Amino acid sequence: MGASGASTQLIFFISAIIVSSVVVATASRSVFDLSNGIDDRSEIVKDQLSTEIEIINDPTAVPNDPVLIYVKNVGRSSLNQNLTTVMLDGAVISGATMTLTGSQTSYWEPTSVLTVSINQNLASGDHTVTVSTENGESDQFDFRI
Amino acid sequence: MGFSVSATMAIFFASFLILFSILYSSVNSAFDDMQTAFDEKYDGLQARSDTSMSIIDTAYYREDNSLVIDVLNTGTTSLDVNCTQLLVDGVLTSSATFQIQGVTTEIWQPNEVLTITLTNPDIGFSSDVYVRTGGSNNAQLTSPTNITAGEKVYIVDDTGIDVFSLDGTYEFTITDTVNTPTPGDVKVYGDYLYVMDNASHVDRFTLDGVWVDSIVYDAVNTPTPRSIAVDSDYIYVVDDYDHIDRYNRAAGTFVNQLISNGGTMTSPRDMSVGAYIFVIDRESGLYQVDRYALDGTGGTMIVGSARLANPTDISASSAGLQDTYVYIVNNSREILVFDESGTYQGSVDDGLSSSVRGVDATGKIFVLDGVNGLVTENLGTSIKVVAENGVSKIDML
Repeated sequence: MGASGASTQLIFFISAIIVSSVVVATASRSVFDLSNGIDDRSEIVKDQLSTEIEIINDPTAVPNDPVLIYVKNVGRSSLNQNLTTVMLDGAVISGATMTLTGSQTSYWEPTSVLTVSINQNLASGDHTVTVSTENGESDQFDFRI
Repeated sequence: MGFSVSATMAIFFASFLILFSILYSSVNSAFDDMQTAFDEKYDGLQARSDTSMSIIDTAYYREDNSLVIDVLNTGTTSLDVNCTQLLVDGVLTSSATFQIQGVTTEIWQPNEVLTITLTNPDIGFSSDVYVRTGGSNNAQLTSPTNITAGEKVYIVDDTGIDVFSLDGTYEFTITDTVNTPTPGDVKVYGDYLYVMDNASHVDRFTLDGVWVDSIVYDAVNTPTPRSIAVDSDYIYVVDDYDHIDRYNRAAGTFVNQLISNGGTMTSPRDMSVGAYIFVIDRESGLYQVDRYALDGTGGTMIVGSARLANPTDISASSAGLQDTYVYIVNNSREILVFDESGTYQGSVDDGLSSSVRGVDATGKIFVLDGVNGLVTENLGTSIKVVAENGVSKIDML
């Protein structure tokens, strides 16, 4: 057992340290990833919970040609109106003009109204418009021309 | 061997503690964020459920071309006045002013009335209205003959003038058997009520019903007044079914014979003044509606006899509105509506009998019906008020 036994013990010890360190490092990376994921996900869900929009048009008199859709930020988050998606009768509108009213800033602040102008002349009948924010919150509005 | 295992276990244990604390911190932070977000979401929902409004009054005033809407906060939470929106006929307005009891303030508390004033509103007649009649009241009327509307509705009824609120509630009667024993035509403008009396002169009353003076009494130029109209500058008088005279509104002094007999004018029966002077004229037993510029020139027929059957009363929209219309009592059973060029827009007969006697259109169409009394008809302009949290209320003019 003498010197060779001590060397063996030392090798076992060093090996155990190295192996356990590798295991801890691997586990740490997973935990950090998991932690970051939880943080990111909670931020997204928090944003979604604090975001709420409402289309405030009068359903009995929606302006046509151009179609004007008024969307009010009734949540607590400031939004970027340039990342807003508008769908009219199931089709995404790409050329809509967005104008902010109310508290005039470059962002769509809570309680202010975004006017979406769609250069279309809608035919008589039933129509549906859906407005979605940058984080996926949306509101749908049905009306008849 | 034993020491290696111990060292490994120590490393694992220490690492576990550190990693667990990191993970716990993240989960705890996320949980707190979620809880805060849910609390805010709940607060928002609570605020919405606590928010309620009621549009208690709408009125259009010719004198200053303004639409005034009174909205009562019937909820249990205060609202932000500056974050309130008004839509008229579906269009978001940007120039409306918001006041509470005449004061510009930010907080709109429960049970307070928010007064929204919009000048130059886009209100007009719509032929496509599902519910036209707003109500009627015949409780006070006995023998009504003529009607005019401003902040109140004034109806000539036998020897008196019955006064109703714009929602059709009877308020009081104006009677002055000494100065105004036989009221005929009546018009309200500004602070005064102008009453043509006894086919001889035009009296002036305060809006509370106190006789002021005989503002037009001119046996030389206008011996037999039959119908009157009033605008910001003048009192117009149809004299003896023959011509139209014009008087200064403030002083009552004769200005000129604005439209003489001859040419387009044969036998004027009634008139109304808005952006133009509109006249019901009669020739050889047939009626027509003629239009003149405010200076009396440019007389032209805009509605021919084929459209008319014994028209008896005419009312024109205020000149300040973007779209103006002419409302005519036709055949004692309907209101015909034309634009100012004479293009037919539609007719209104909902809730009316075959004894319609007068009409005046301001924020609504006020019809005097011999059977149903004061009948209020909707123009068809929709109004929507939106509170800060999106809760809204819709009404119709």
